[in-house]
This record gives sequence, C-alpha cells and structure tokens, in this order.
Amino acid sequence: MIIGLDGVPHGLMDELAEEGMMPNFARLKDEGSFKRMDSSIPAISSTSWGTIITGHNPGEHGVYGFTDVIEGTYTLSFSNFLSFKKPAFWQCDGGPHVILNVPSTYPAQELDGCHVSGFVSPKMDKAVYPEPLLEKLKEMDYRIDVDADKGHKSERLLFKELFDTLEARIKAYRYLWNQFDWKTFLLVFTGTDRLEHFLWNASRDPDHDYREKFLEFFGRIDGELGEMEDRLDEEDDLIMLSDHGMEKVKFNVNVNAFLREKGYLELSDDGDKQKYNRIEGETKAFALEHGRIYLNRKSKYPRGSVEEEESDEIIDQLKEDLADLERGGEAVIDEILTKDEIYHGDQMGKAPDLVLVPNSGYNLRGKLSDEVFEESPFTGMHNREAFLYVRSNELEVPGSPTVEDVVPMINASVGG
Amino acid sequence: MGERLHNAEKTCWNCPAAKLEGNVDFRACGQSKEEARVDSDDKEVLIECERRPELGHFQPTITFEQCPEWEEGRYGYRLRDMRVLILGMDGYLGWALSLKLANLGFDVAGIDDYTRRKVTGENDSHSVVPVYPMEERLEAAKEVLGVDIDFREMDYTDRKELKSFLKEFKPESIVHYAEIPSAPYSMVDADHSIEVQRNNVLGTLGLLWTMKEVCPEASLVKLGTMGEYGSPITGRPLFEGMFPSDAVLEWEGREWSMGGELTPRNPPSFYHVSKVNDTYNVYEACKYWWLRSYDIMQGIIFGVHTEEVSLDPRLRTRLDVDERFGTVVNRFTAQAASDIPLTVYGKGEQTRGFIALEDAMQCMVRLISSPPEPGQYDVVNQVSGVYKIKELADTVGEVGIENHGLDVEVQRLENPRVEADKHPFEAVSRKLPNEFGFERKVSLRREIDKMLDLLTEDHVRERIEKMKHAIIPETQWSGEKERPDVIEIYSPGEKDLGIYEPKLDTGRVEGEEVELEEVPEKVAPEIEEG
Amino acid sequence: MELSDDNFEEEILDYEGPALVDFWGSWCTACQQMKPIVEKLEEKYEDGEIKIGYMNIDKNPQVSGKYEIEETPTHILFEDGEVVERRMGALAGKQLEGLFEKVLKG
Repeated sequence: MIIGLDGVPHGLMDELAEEGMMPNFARLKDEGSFKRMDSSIPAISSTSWGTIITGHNPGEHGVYGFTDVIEGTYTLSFSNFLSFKKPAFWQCDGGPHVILNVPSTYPAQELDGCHVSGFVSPKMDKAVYPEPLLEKLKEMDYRIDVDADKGHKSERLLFKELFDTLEARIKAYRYLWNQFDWKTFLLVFTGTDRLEHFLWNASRDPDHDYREKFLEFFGRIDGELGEMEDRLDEEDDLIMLSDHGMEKVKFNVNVNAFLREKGYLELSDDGDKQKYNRIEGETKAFALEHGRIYLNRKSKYPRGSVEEEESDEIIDQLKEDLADLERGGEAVIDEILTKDEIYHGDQMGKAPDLVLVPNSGYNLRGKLSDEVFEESPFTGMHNREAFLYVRSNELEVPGSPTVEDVVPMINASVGG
Repeated sequence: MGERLHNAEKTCWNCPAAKLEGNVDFRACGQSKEEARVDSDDKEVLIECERRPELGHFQPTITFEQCPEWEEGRYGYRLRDMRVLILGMDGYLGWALSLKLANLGFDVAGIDDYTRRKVTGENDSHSVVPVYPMEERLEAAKEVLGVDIDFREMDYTDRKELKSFLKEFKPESIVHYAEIPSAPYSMVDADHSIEVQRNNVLGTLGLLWTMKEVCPEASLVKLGTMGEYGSPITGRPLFEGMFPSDAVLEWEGREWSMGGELTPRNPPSFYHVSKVNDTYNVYEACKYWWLRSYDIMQGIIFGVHTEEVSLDPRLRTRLDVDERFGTVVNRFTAQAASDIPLTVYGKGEQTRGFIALEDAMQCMVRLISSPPEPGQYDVVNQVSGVYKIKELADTVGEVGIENHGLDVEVQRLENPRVEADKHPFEAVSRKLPNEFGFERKVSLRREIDKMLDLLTEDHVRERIEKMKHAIIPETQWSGEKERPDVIEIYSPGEKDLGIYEPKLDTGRVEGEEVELEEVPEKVAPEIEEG
Repeated sequence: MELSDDNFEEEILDYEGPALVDFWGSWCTACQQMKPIVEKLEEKYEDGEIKIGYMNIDKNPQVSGKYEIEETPTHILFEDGEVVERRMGALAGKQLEGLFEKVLKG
C-alpha cells in the first residue's frame, strides 16, 4: 500500500509525530524507516509524481514541469498523463492496481484494476477508469480537487472545501478497498499541498488564527492512517511518501523580468501576441516556472536565434548574471545546474538548458512581468524536502532515497 | 510564388482536431450571462488536440505554419489526411470535388442515393456527358489517380444511417451537396415543391442535429446560392450574407447600425426558398451549439472541366442541360451544339453571378482548408463573373460560330418564371480572393469553347438528341405545363444588351488584371465530305 | 489595437487618458462586424487623443469576467483606468464616436 501526502515536507511530518498531532503516524514511525527523500529538480508535482510512478528521471519521462513550450511554437502546454514517455508502474505489470488521485495522470487509461486521476482533470468522465465507477463516485460527491477560487475568497471556504474533498476521498478509498483483490493500492491526498500553499504560516506560528484547523486537517488524515493500518496484514508492505516539501515564501521572483533587464529577453508589445508568442527574435533566453531557463534556439523555436555554437557562451553568461540576482544583500539563487548535470535519457531535447535552485523563500516563477520581485498570495512554496516512510519485512530502503527509488521498491514488493 | 499561404496564421481555433476544454462560454450574441465569472489568475482557455494527445492541455495558439499536422499545399496549408465527407458525391459538383480532394491528399468519403440520376428520368432526360456507375467511377479513380474513396449508398435524410456513418468516419469537414438544386423542379406541382423542401430544409435540419451529437468540431461547408438574395430593383449591392459594419439604416432622422445582420433575402422559387430556410437553420445551429459553417452563395455554375475529370472518360462528371437541372451557360452551349436557338427568357436582361466548375472547386478546397472558428457562421459569395443572360447568349453564339462553325441563333421566350428580367446588379465577392487566396483561372469564353469541343462530338450529340424534348422549358411558375411562346429570334450580337452595367466588387484595385487562359486561335473546321 | 488578458492592465488600466474598449464575443456576428468600425476609429484617432482597443471575451475570460460583460458587443469608455461609461449593442461609427466625444472635449 502506498499513501501519498502531496507536498508534505519531512520536517513537518516529524514535528507532527513528535508533538502528538499525528499519533498513528508517530507509532508507525517507530516501526519502520522514516527518511528525508529528495524530490525531483524542479520540485514540482507533475515532474516529481512522474518520476515516482515511472521510476525514471525527467530526461527519460519527458515532463520537466507543470508547463512546457511546445517545440516549433511558443505555445504553452500543460502536461498530462499522455505526455509521459515512460509507462507508470501499474502499466508495466498485471495488477490488479487501485490508483486513486495521483496528480498528472489525466486522462485515466485502461489497466487491470481502477484508476481515478488527480489534479489537473478538466472532465470527470475522462478521469475515471473503468467507466461504471464514475456514477458511484458522483454519488459520494467525489471531487478531484478543491476549488481554488473559493480558497482565495476566504479561509472558511478554503477549509470547507478541504474537508469536503478529504471526506469524499476517504469514502472513495474505503469503497474501492474491497472492490478489487489488489496487489498495489496507491492513494494520494492532495489537500495537504493546497492547505500548505495557502496557510504554511499556520504550521509555523503557534498563535496563528488557523493553526488549530490546520492541525485538525492533518489529524483527520492521521485518523484514517490508523484505519488503513488496521486493514493491512503483517506481510503487506506500507509505503508513505510525499512528492516534494514546502517552506515559507518570502517573494515571488519573476525570472523573466530579470532576463529582460539583462537583455536576454525581448518581448513584443503588439496587442495581438499573447504570452510567450510575444518573444521576439533577438531573445537569447526565456524562463518557465520553477527556475527553468531555455535558450531561444534556432533549431527549436519559430523565432529562435541561438545557434548551437553560441549556446555554451550564453549559458556561461547567464550563470554569471544570475549569480548577481539578489535582494537585500541575499543571493536569490543557490545553485545553477545545466541539464546534463541533472538529467539523462532520450527526452533530453525537451530539457531546460539551465535549472535554478533558489535559496529558501524565493519562489521562482515564469510570468512575463516587468517586476522582478512580487508579493505572493500564498504563504507556502515548494522545496525538495520530501519524505519516505517504509514499513516492510523485506524491502530495503536506500540510504539517501530520491523519488527515482520508489518504483524499484514497489516492484520488489509485488515481485517478492 | 514565395508568398505566404493564405491560412498560415490560422490557429488551433480553426482546427477541427482541437477539443475545447476549459473556459469557453457558450452564449448567444446579445444574451445575458447569469453570473459574472470570478476574476482568477488561473483561468485559461485550454484545448486538447485529438491528433497530438501527448501535448496535454495547451493554449490554442499554434499556427498552421507551426503545426506539423498542417502541410503546405497548392491551395494553402492542408490538414494531413483531413477527413472530408461529401454529401451528394455522385452529382455534378460532388464527383468533381471528391476527385480533386482525394488527389490533393484529403481522406475522402461520400454518400449519395442517386436522386439526380433517378429524377432526371422523370422527364426522360439524362446527363449528356456519359457518366459511369459509381463502382466503375471509384475503380477508375483508383487506377488513374491512385486514390481510395469510401462511398456509401445512402439517403442523407435518413438520420439513423447518417449518424452511424458519421460515427464511423468521424469527418472533420462535411460538404453538403445533397440538395435538390432545381428551381423549375420545385415549381412543377405541390408534390415536387414539398419534396424539394423536405429534402433540402428538413434534411439539413436533421444533419445539423446529427453533427451536434456526433461531430460538433467538423465544419459544415454548405452550398447555398446567390439566388437567395434575389435581385433588388434598387440596385442595393449583394453583400456577403451580412451587412458590413458601416452600413447604416436611417429613418425619421434616427440611425441604426446594420452591421452583422443578415441581409434581406428575396428567393425567386420554392427551391430558392429552401436555401434561405437552410441559411436560418444553419445560422441558429452555429449560435446554439457552436457549430462552424461556411454558407456558400454560389453563382450559377458552368463548365465540365477540371484537371481530374478530364483525365479519363470514366472520370467525367455529369452534365444536365434539361429545363429542370441544366444551368443556363451549359444549356446554351448544348443548344448551340444541337441546333436549338438559345432559350433566353423574357427581356434577357436578368443578371446573375457565375462561376466555372474548376474555379468553384478551387474555392471549395480553400474553404475546406481554412475552417471557421467554433461558433462561426460565415457567408461567402462564390462568384467569378457577372453577366446578363442576353450577353451570355451572345458569347456562346460567337464562340460557336467563330470557333466551331456552328449555326447559332437566339430565341426570346415568354418568361415562364416570375422574376425581374431587367434590373441593376452589383455583387460583392471579396472574401474568397482576399481572405482565402482565390484566383480566378477559367475564362468564360475558353470554357464555352472547350465545352463545345466535347458537346459536338458525335456520341455526345446523340445523347443530346435523345433528351432534346426536355430542353425547351414547359414548367411555368404559374403552375401550368405549357411551352412559352417565342417572342423573337435573332443572331448573336445583333441586339443591344440594355442600360444596366453589372458590377462585381472583388475588392481588387482597378487595373489589376487577372491572367486567364486565352481562347486559342481556331479556324472553323472544314466540313468533311463523305 | 487588440487587447488580451495579458496586456489589458498595461494598456488600459495603467493608461492616462481616455480609452475605448469594444468587448466582443466569439462568433457573435454583429460584434464581428463592429471590429472594422473600431479599426477605422483607431486610424482616425491614431494621434492618440483616445486609445481604442477591442477584446474577445471568450478568448480572454479573466478581464471580461472582471467587468461582468453580459451582452455582446459592449463598449466601455475608460479614463485613467476607471470606467466612465458603458453601452451595449452594435453601434454605427458616428454613434460610437458620440460616446466619447464629451470626454475628448471636456
């Protein structure tokens, strides 16, 4: 059984266990192995879950972030299940498998078992396999994700959404538990990520207005963990993990504004060009969210101008300039990595030329804005501090696990 | 040519493979929304692509030029293996179009229930150009052009069957050539009249519902007719379906914009009325269901030649010249070839828009290749020349006499129709040349000349002889079956053409002449002895 | 000029002076016909006495949601980023000009 808690950092899980907010997990912690797990680079749900479920790095599964620019165009796309170039573990081996609410797995595909995809899923009826399951889920008032609009409106509405969605998720997993003689059951709670984005401060500040509610949410999940534990046998392997961690946001950083300042990015002000179609031919590099920098290569984009021979030089220049990006004396960027340093595989053509790893609190965004620094409506931002928990008689856990290590463990578990 | 193809900048909005997920608001013009949307940074208009599902969800901004599914072609970018369904594929236009599309690389399917073949039998008429059974036509197409066309015998008004085929073929474009296109036929009697409107209007209505259910992203390329507009005595220009933005109605010192409103219709027969009704049905369907359609107000079609049909006798398309299904230039040409004085009705100063077969086919390909956006209903006037009937008679006569040594005369008959036989005429046809890159290729005289080559061949002349009785009109709009009296007979060129100068406004600058194929110098053939 | 969710703030809200925006709906034919009128006005006032723009509300859900566009076409006259006047329905060129004449004079 694999339980995912989207966006929950190792540190927070530890705290909640130690401070008695999650007693069931505290007990489980002592019975198994609980470690920090490195998320993907960048630490974003689509890339990370992609790696977790395929066991391959982005250089092989081809999804480097939530968004991508379609080759041969400047059109922005949002990856989904069909974008992955490597199959998920449940597509590689007979099940039955119950896959519930894994992000970026829309539209649901045929498998031995059932699959309900997680965010982003525009149409419920394409998010559910097999079809008959859809009715049942609708009866439970199941929804894929919280309504972010309501969340922005007020904390009250946010919590209502979070709890309603959580209850429906719980109803769904309980129902599915007995429907199949499953080999793997993968259940992901995504409310945790939503909650932390909006109210990370509530987890840090003991006097925060919503601290109680925040803890109540995790408490509810913990309660259910106990339930699930009861349903499991001794020989069953239990894995719990998150895809990335969370930390406090200091500022949103619009990398493109910085690139524009330094002359790497030229944008058209023509009314009828939107978004990245504003990129002019003189552009050398542009950024997508989560610190990904792409050279405006002639071979890749309609108004690309960077020749192969120039790219190394431009990358070196970028590295120099980005190192200067600072606020109040503090450097914004911690590390600047080239694609070859972090990825490998046959999908390298789509990889960003550079990935920036920010210092704590600097949320790197892809907006085409003029302002380099901006306040964020959210209080939490992603980081690489995920966690991995394993309770098993046989499974071996790597010393410093990364998200690539999950599939081998799953395979070992079902194989054995 | 080096010029940018006309549809290079079209985007996913125009492409039938785009599936609109996300936030497109389906609302009719002028209708209020119930609640305003919440301002949110995350709301995007996103689509999925049926042909490239691996792209996930994305903004519909990829241009035809950028997209690998759209390839450069002779008439603009073309969706690779675009699935086009032709309703009425066995007909004069349908067969010619199916060959042209298939030859260009489109994935072509078609249906027909052979109504035209059957119905011309009613007055013992038939195509004067010999045409082969569909099976043989398809074999010949495979042999000569190397193309596979999927054909089903089917009545398009049979919704169950049609739906089933649409589900199977999943068309990305539907060309509607399945109407009964004859004015006199619709005036014969109540049964004929009602049958024309049942087939045309109710058939189209059923087609629209079926498209909505099965393939709402397909465009409906619908054949309408310039005849919908009628011929206003005021000389008001015939705009392309809707008033232009700066048209203004003034009354009692007050003013209103007419921009975007459908122009007045004045159809001259129950058949023409059926086309007008189609216009409203299609217009509404686009409004309610965001279907996409081009309503083509086509001028009177003439000619028998396209690059494809001329390749082999088995590929020829039909040519009707009887009073019901023959169109005027084709009729005159056949009359010239068979010693019948050309039948001009009334004063003969009726003015109409015309277009040659090959030019019409070019227009169709361009329109199919550049689909409308979701919800878009657009009208084009598919016309390449405007002429008075009397003028056409003179032209056919001249070409017949000078180039073919024929003895051609013109007869004016009492008009069996109820219509103005003398009126000003100004037609606007700007969209096809300016937005779709259409360039007229066929000259009237040259096509008449080529037709006469064909129609004076012995075996064709024989076929004309056999249906000669159906050439002289007898269907009166009054309801009587009676051949009209002859008013006078004269030689081509003898009479003056009248005061009104017809105008065709293509938006082209004065003096921008279009190169047309010239009529070759010919000496009248020697009459063979023996 | 063509307006979008992306450039609306910069072009209209941050603009000092009068601006007229024509909001039109995808495949509302009356609105589609308004576009050339608006374009003609653009040319007439290209010296900048008034900024003129048009926006497709279905392709740009954010801004149109904000202004609660209910009927199309809707014309909104802005001055210094604030809404001064609103009119719904197709308008002839002269009528449209009438809408902002006072602002230009006053």
